[in-house]
Amino acid sequence: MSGDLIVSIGVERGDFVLDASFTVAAGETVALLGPNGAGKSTVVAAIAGLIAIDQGSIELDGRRLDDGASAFVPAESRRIGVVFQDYLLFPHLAALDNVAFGLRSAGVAKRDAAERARQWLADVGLAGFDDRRPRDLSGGQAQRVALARALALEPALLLLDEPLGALDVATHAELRRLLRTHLESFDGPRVLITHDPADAFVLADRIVILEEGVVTQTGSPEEIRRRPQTRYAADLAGVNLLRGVADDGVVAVAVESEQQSAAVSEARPALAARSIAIADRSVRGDVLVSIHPRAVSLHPRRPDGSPRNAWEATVDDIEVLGDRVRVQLAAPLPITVEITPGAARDLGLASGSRVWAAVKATEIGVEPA
Amino acid sequence: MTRPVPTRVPPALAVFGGIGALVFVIPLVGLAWRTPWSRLGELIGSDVVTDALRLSLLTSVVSALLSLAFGVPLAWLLARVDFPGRRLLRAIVTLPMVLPPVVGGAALLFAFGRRGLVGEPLESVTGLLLPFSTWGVIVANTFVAMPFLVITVEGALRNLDPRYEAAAASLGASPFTVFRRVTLPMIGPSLGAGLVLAWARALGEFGATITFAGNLQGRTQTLPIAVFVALESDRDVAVAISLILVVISVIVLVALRDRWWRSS
Repeated sequence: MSGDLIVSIGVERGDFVLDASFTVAAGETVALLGPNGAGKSTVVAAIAGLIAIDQGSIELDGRRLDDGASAFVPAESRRIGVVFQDYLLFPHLAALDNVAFGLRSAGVAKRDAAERARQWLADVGLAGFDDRRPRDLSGGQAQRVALARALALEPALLLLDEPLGALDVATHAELRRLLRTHLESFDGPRVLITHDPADAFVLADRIVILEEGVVTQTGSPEEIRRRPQTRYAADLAGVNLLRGVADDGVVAVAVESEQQSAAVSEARPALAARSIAIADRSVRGDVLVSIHPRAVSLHPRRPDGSPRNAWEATVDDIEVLGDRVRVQLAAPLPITVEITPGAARDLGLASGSRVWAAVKATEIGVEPA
Repeated sequence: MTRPVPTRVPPALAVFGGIGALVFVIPLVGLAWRTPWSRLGELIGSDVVTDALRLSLLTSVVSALLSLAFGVPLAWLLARVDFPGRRLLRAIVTLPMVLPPVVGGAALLFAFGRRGLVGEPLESVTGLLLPFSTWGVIVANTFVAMPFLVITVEGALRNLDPRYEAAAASLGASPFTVFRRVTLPMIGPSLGAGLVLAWARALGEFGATITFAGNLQGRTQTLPIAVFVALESDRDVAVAISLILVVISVIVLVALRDRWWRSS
């Protein structure tokens, strides 16, 4: 389809072999999720035109950018807006000139470019920051400028390389919201490179998991969370993420009454709230709650002792992944729990059986959403 | 309150470091001691001195600018393009830094002299004869000075994070635009340092110049050559010129040090 990004990248660098294929439709956000060394930055470099691929092809909006042989469109002609990992704002240029850089290179007259750049700065919430040098900007502000700089060219593709990687927690959430808005209003395909599953779940329509140079799984965030196919996917992408509202050490979690978890859905149809106790009493407002599947314990009856979060649930599904058993719990809190095969046997778990689940407040991750 | 720990100085370092400092201080004191302060104005105002001063300033500045115009692109090629013979070329470019300047001057003479490899066709086509002309001084100066700029700038280019240039390219900038709007400004401090080094080297140039361009007052007799000649004829003039060179050097060092060396 017109506008789509179709990628099939084969790159060999000594021992490392990258062989990754995926497609991103116009108007779709795909997160490329993978551990360090998986080849994510090589994918970025190949798409952006900073390296040439050895095999395969890269096509954007019907235009062949690289075919591993004769065709190679240089970076400056690809019309790809890249937001780089550590911003890479030009240190010798003010914020406005950074944003106007692409327009100026494209031959837009100085005054016109400045006017449009000023508008873009305002769009990312930095009106009045025109003359600031990058060294006088905070990490979050620098990232906003980098985003404005990439968007100003009205590129055919938006490529975000770890855009939220180096930010503190509060800025991270704020920037993620901003990013979400701008991703949604961008018409072309959007590729988000990240190692943070929370960012992938919040921002992406689809997730491509890359491990050791190979795509190991592709699917919607919910599919990947519920059915991770590798250990890495289970460890990172398999984390339970729930939206909620925090107040005084308690999070009212919004749970959809349907099977789908409320983790990412903005529409929130027919919500039922359930309270979860968390350790930090100072957090308030919209939050993203993360519960690692292994932080949850399962018991045949109400557990004694201290866990403040204990509830009875129905087992929805059981799946064996290597040496672990992943148990999907149904209402009231649809989450995934990971236990050992021995524990699963002892509990006599089967689809439809009733168990008690417990999780300590200190084991629950909370970040502003 | 934190109390700074006083630095303890090992005696050996103090003694040897002190002697090292004297190597630089004593000649300056000697120069000042020998200076005929009362006649200084008159000496500096003499034709020989003003001619040499004017010529030195002109040739050193032109040489520095030529080094900039050709040395920066050369440094870029050496730093960024992997062509066959790159290492050999780099060695050849830096050779004038270690070569005795007299040898450099002789080599220039063989190449650009009236009978030289390039000199002969150059004269027959353009009528320009480099040896014993002001242009000859400039060529000799550039020959010894440009390597300082090239190695400074090449080092800076190698240290520059290439991802900034990648970012510029992704924003649609052509390779030359990237060079002009990102690379050059980002290596600005080193560029300045290299320019000053090259200029200083050109100002002090003696051996290659006298060999290739000779010693004609007003045309090829620069300040260092004038000092050398005056030592034989009028020592007071030699001292006066030396003093001028010291003052110019100090002014430049003080004026530029904070701006370039510290920030780079």
